[in-house]
Amino acid sequence: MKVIIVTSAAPFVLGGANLLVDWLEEALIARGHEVDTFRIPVDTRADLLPAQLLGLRMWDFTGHGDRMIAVRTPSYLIKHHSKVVWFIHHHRPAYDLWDKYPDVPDDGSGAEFRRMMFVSDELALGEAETIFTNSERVSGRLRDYNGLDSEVLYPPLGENQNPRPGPFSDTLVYVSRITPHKRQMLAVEALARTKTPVRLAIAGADGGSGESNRIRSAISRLGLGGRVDYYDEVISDSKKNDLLASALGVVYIPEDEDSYGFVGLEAAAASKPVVTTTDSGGVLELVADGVNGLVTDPNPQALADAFDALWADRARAAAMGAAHSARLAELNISWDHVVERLLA
Amino acid sequence: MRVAVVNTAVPFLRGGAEILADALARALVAAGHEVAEVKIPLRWSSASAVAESMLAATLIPIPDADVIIPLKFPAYLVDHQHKTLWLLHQFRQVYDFWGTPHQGLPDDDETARLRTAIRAADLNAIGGAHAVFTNSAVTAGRLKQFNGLTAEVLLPPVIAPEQYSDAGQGDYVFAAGRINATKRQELLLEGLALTTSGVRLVIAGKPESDDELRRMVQFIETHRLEDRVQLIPRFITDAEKRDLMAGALGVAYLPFDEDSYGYVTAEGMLSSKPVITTTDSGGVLELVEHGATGLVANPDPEGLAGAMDALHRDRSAAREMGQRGRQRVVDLDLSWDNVLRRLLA
Repeated sequence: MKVIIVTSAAPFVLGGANLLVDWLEEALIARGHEVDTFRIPVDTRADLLPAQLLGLRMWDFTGHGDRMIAVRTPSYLIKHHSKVVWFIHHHRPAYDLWDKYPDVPDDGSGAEFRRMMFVSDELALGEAETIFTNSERVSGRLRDYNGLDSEVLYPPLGENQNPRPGPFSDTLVYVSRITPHKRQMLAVEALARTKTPVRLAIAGADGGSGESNRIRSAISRLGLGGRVDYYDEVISDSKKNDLLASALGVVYIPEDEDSYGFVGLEAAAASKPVVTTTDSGGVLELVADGVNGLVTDPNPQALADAFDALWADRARAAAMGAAHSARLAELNISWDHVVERLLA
Repeated sequence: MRVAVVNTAVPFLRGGAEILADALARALVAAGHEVAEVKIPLRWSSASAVAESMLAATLIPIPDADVIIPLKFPAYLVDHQHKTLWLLHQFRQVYDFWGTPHQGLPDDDETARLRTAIRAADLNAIGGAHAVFTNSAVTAGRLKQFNGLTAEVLLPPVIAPEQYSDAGQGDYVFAAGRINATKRQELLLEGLALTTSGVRLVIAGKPESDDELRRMVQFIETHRLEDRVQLIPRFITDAEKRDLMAGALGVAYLPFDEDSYGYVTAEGMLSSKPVITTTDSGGVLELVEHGATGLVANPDPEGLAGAMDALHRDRSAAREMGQRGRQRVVDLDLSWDNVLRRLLA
């Protein structure tokens, strides 16, 4: 089949949605499809967005290829005779994060901006043959805000990504962007309360929040220098795979995340249990407590208990790590399934 | 430096411009720059489709780029404070194609307004750019003629020039590239039927339509040219192309009024082969000088037959022209170093 992929992008910035598009493209090509991908620059500042929506509406690929898959908002405004959408998230400042973004104010102009976004989304998404999402949460938002039905199509890890299983060491691994929202600090505070010699490795770059410095000083204040490996950078895939292979488990405790993210998938590929928290949102669609990881209350003591439990019972940690594959199969997380549904 | 290469695209269509955009992006990355390749669609089924494509292009933001390098209409309408054009072509339907069968759009009021709008947009976007380069003297000439704007010619480098070499003089003239009406392989075939020297012809490339292929096969049968023509009607790999070039007597490339010099021209010259082209082949004539680096024939079977016979009859002259052609391409410094230095200045 000839497939057009369209998505919005911020040129020169890497992000999860870009990776997902790269992996989708690979998976389609690997199955013999011809793919042409348009990564369209979009500047999401509220005062610049309306004109860009108009511009995207002038794009029209009708008659080209057999199927168009639109991924990141607002690329689905583009017209096509056979359009499906793999919806990752709304333009959140106009939806669920409205009260958190100053560029969509709580006044007449902010309300008008939101109204415009809603109308634009509902018009364009209404043209799709099927709307897929990456999680139950995002499907729920589409239903609640826009009254639109959708099908959850969980994103798999790229087929050329290769985290691998390995022996269980003493170290839990947290690989993610360093930001208050991901709560690496909470993991450090938890480590201070553990009773076993369990260790923690944190890897990731600070996007400018200053959180990295706060974590460093907490490590030193709590006397954890010998028990925390801190890689203050975007680590290479091979370094990440090495960390995962020898991990005791994977920590992923973001606050109210939309989807399980790639961290959960990497843990699954490495057969390591995931420690997460009851308020981590979409992560809970993947991780079930006691099945393929541990789900605790979001406080240092509860997390410390979970860390200790993994250290104390390696056999159970290994069993939970091994249980990922059944969980992934249950949720239909595979490129075969994704490609079949997107091209149906 | 953060550089955006901005090209115009039609889904699934891949030709010289796409190859050039990718090669430019690779060269920029190799030189240590951060690169984003951006594709802007163009629809031309009606005047309003063209106008919508123009509007869409002007609304694309690339604020984080230090430089944007657009290649075609309407990609160069993207707004940016540091825009360096490497112009492959404008919207030819309203310029040099106007009044020809290639015009495409009806001669009505709507198209008249579109023409006015394109002239104004071109004057503004090209005239206001940081720098303007074109891929050929032909493109620069049109810009001067139709818009009164001047540009520097910056010839695109050959992709992987070091891979072309000479493996001796065979008895065949080689024509490589997509087989279609504007590349005129059929004309070359008609020329071969009139030759008297025993020169042979190898034509390789993917035919754009079955009709063309059928006509050529039939022509070969009718004129009993089976022994003197080898037709390879498929996409050939770069390695196959290099080998066929390396062993050829000469290379033929006779597109109708092409903008650019044509990769095949430079590749043939780097293989030390004389190039046969025609007086109406446009940008190819920037490299091929009659009697010096190849033969420029009239675009008819007699002219082409004469050129092919000439190469076969005076092989030492053919060899000398080939060697001069190679030197000419080397002297032009068609290197990415040179291109990047000028585009990023």
